[in-house]
Amino acid sequence: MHALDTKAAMGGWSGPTLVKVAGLSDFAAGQLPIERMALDLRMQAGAPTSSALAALPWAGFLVDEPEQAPNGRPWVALPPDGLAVAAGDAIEVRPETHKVARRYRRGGNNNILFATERCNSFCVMCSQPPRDIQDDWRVQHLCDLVELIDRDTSQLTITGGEPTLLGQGLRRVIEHCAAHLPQTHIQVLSNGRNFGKEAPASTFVAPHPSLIWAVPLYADHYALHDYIVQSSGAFAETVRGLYALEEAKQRIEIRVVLVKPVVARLPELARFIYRNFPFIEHIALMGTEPTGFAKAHRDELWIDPADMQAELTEAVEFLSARDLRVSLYNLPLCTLPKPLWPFAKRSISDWKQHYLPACEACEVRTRCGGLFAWVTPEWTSRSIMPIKETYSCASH
Amino acid sequence: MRKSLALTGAALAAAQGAAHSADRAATTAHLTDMAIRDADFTVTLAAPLNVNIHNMYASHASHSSHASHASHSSGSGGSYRAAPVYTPSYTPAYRPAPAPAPAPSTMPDLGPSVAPLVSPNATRATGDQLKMMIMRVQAALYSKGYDPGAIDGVMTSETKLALAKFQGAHGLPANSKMTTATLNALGVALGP
Repeated sequence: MHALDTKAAMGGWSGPTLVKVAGLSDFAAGQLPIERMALDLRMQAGAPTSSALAALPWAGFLVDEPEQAPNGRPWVALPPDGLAVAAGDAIEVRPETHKVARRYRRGGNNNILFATERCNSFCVMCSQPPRDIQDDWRVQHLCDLVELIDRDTSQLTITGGEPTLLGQGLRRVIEHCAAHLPQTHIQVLSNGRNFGKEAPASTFVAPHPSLIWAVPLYADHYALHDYIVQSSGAFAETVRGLYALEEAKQRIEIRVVLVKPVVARLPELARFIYRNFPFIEHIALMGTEPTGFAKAHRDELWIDPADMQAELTEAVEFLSARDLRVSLYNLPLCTLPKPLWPFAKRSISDWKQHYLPACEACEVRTRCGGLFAWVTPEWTSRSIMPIKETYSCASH
Repeated sequence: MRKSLALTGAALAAAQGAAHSADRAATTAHLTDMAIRDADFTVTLAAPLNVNIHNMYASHASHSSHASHASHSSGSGGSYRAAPVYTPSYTPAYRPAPAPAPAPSTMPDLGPSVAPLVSPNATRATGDQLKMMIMRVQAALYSKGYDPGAIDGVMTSETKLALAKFQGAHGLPANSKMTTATLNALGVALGP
């Protein structure tokens, strides 16, 4: 597991806070003004020193030792075992806190645009507990970041908090993605409750050629859904939001987090989705991320994936038989019955993906999504064990 | 465009299928449906870096002022669709009128970051621009394992040799010139 920010030594940093780390090929490509890039002078980057190159108006220099930086120019030295940063990444340099955060990872499988810390729900298993603070400054910040992201990035996730609380600011961020990253698939994680209010769904008609809304729905009944999101009236708003998105011709995914009370009614939820939202493009059934509020509610929420196989199988078979696409996220293969393996996706972001010692001997590890890095024994399925493909054949 | 291709293919297949059983047509329809849905997830391959941009560096160290118009083929190896035809008489000031808003599946507008480096009327690079472009080419050569000597913005004999070697290895005329095809192959954009 790798952290996303770190303390770092730095000097003279006065330029932009967000910069792209430039290797020689990024300099050659010339996609960004020199002033928005920091030249990577570290030994690992292997670039030859060149006074002509260093004399260009770089925002700063990434170095191992301060002496490597040209005299009087801004520099940052990352601790050797801390944050992994390489050419093409975008970093945020904060001189006032002596911190460097990585905001974009070149080639990463799950780069995010963090829209806001605010949220109108308060889900019992929230992995990113909200804070009620004014953070509209993030709109401009994200627009700046989008400009630093590689144009061939395949996917970006806009998340929070509840991104639609940015209102028109969210539209601005999405439009900026459309202008700079028209080939990138954009996924927005939203509870959909706002689509009749501050951010009507029509606001988002076709600003980006490839965008999907991922909306959580936890039950076929308002009481359970409202309990899970700790917010009365949320079920009705989300249902209306889903129809508003459909009316605005938006692509929609429904996300279901597999906590204990939700699993109990999962087959009913699957039927509810099929009957009422047949226009849904994709349904993701997701294992719980054991962090944030989830840790405080472990007893109410935890169900071993080994104990949800019946409900999971019924729901997946029901939906896929009706031509609705289903995926299973965050569930290791050894916790799933084999017929469900084709639905399991390697969904855990690379920087928080982890395997257990038992996984060393597993033959399907390369196909398995593994576990969240912060998994603890009490959040670990009893059925975690190395899989030997030959055994499973013999059992036929 | 991908959708239209999928549909055309499907129509042809269906015409053929009509001769067979209705079952077959149903299968074809199903496959077509899947192809159309897949189209939403396919990635459009990148266009070459430098499309419709006047290359004022290509004729550097050359007597022919038209050398820059000689090349418009892609050296990047990526296939692309609907590349605009490069008409030699264009200068960037008269770039073709923007096509109607691009449909999601066609080649994207490359946007402001590939706008011409200087005022669009300029056809000759200034000394500073030329030095910068040579540095970029040197950096690209270095990062691709060639040795252009120091990255100093001077077209030294070492740099020329490295450039010619690179061109030779990529099926380009080994003339040590910064042609558009060479820049595409090196991953060097003509702007900003």
